[in-house]
Amino acid sequence: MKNRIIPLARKEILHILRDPRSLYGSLIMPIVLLILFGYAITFDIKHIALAIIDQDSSSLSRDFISRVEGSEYFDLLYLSSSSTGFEKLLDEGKVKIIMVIPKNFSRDLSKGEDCALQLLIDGSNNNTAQVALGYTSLLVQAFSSNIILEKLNSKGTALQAGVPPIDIRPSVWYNPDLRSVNFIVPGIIAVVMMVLASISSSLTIAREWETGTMEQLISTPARPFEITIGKLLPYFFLGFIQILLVILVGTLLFKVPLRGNILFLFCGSAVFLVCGSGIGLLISTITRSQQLAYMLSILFTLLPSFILSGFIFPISSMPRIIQFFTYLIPARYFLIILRGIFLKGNGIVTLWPETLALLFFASVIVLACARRLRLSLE
Amino acid sequence: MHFWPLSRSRERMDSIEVQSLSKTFGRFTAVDHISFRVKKGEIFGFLGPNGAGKSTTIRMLCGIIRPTSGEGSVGGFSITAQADEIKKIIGYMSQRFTLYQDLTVEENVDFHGGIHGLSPSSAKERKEWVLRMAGLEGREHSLTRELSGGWKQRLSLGCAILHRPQILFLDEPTASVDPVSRRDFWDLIYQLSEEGTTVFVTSHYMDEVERCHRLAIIYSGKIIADGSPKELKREFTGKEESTLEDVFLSAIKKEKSDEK
Repeated sequence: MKNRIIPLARKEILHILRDPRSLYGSLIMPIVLLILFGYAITFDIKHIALAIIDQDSSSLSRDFISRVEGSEYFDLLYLSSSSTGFEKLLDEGKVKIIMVIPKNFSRDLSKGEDCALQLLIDGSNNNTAQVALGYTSLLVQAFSSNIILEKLNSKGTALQAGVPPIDIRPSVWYNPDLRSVNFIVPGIIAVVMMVLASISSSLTIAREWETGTMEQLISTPARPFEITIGKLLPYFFLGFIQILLVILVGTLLFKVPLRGNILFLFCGSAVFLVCGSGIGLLISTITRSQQLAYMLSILFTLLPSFILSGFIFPISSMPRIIQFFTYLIPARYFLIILRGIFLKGNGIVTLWPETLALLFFASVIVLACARRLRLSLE
Repeated sequence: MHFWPLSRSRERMDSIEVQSLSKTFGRFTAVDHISFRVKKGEIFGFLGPNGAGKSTTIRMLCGIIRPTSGEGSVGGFSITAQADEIKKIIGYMSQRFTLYQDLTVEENVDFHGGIHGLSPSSAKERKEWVLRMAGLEGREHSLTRELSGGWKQRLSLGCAILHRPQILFLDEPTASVDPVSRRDFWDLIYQLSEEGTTVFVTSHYMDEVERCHRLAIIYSGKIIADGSPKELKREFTGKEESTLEDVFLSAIKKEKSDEK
């Protein structure tokens, strides 16, 4: 059999090279996304704007305030003894938290009575609010246990230093500084590859239908699978260049560790690219318009791989039904593989279930494509 | 499934043979039980108004779409069962300009040579021939989108006959081409026919269909007349000096009155 894939692929490469804007776009987009997500969207919350109303103005309350000020999690922007007009700070978004130290703060504490500290939190961003609440609670707890300790000491109770008796010594593995960029770079690779692979493959075929050249191709001895493979092969390599770029920027600029085997990373990526291009191909059998193909690609790949893959939102905290759907998203498995390779240095021994799942999806998608391609031409 | 007896068509040297061929799209019947034969080396004109079913017929014969019913053979191969074989021996030039506009003249020609599996030496020889035929020598490296209408059309034809097809299908090849280019084009068609290539050409230009050896008039999916231009004139207007336009109009008139 004469090889028709090579002339088809060569022609496709010419198309890509003749359209440098699209080419640069597809190379720059992953890096722009990476930089956007890596810098702008960080889940590490620090420097929360804070206001304190100190109605007590005692040495104890000032002691407390100085501890808050000393923490890098809070920026104390306003301090006052009166509460008038303070709600406006929350309304206008100048602070996220207002802490009210009540009048009898030091008196109640020195008498050994309970004392309530009021917290007003801006809950419009529930994520920040929760984190802020967590930090404040920790701070207040530490402060109260100090007071208790001092009390006990002053009463002469024989207690060893180092109380409270249970001391947590956390040691975070794989991402010791809890940097969210380490978590995001693998996610970006998955999302970008899925989206770009499906868009480029659905567009390249829709374009041939739109210009009428597909009809010309079908009238030649080239078979549908040769046309498909020949057209997709160059985009497959383009996908690899994109992955390489993201890995380079991620490891060099953002210092994301790459602890696992690069070869395994590329093999997994190849299978995942087949899934992405295949989804694009399926879309191109539904519509022959470039515009619709573009929108469907975004709909079927960007949103699911963003929201349901575990890229940003943890799957374990999703409702049961939604969790079920995440099993249908190839990006879900690829993300586990990527994070495993990047952060944990995992290999095939640990990641075989996800690799198998990806292989399964790739073959189902390829079979579906072969079937739909035959039907669409009749 | 009923197969058209292929051996018989070979004996008669018929290049194209169609029996009761139909194509429906949903409830719309584009081609309605048409039958005709085209001999080897013949220039066969397919005449009809827009939407009559000309392109649909060509696309069925080229194996691009499947007929709803009926059977036909092209070069001795069944259009329903052996479309892959047919594609190796035909050339097809569709109504739309289907070369790649962002590729150069040479790249388009090379692509067609590659996809038809020409050997490097014959690809080179044919490429030189096509560039000479199309008058594009020296413009090999121009982008195709920069060519004017007549050049584009000759380049399309060149790509369609690059692999020396036995049967050539041309769907309204001279639409949007100036008269001089059209005359050159038809000279080339005659030359191909003399070399033994069968040419199946659709058109709605009466003056150019006049130059076909035989023609069929298709109207709302049905063939309402066929024969040589002379025969048709005799049959429909009674005089040989009348134009094909008269034939066309009176054939349609007759068809309409028959329907009532």
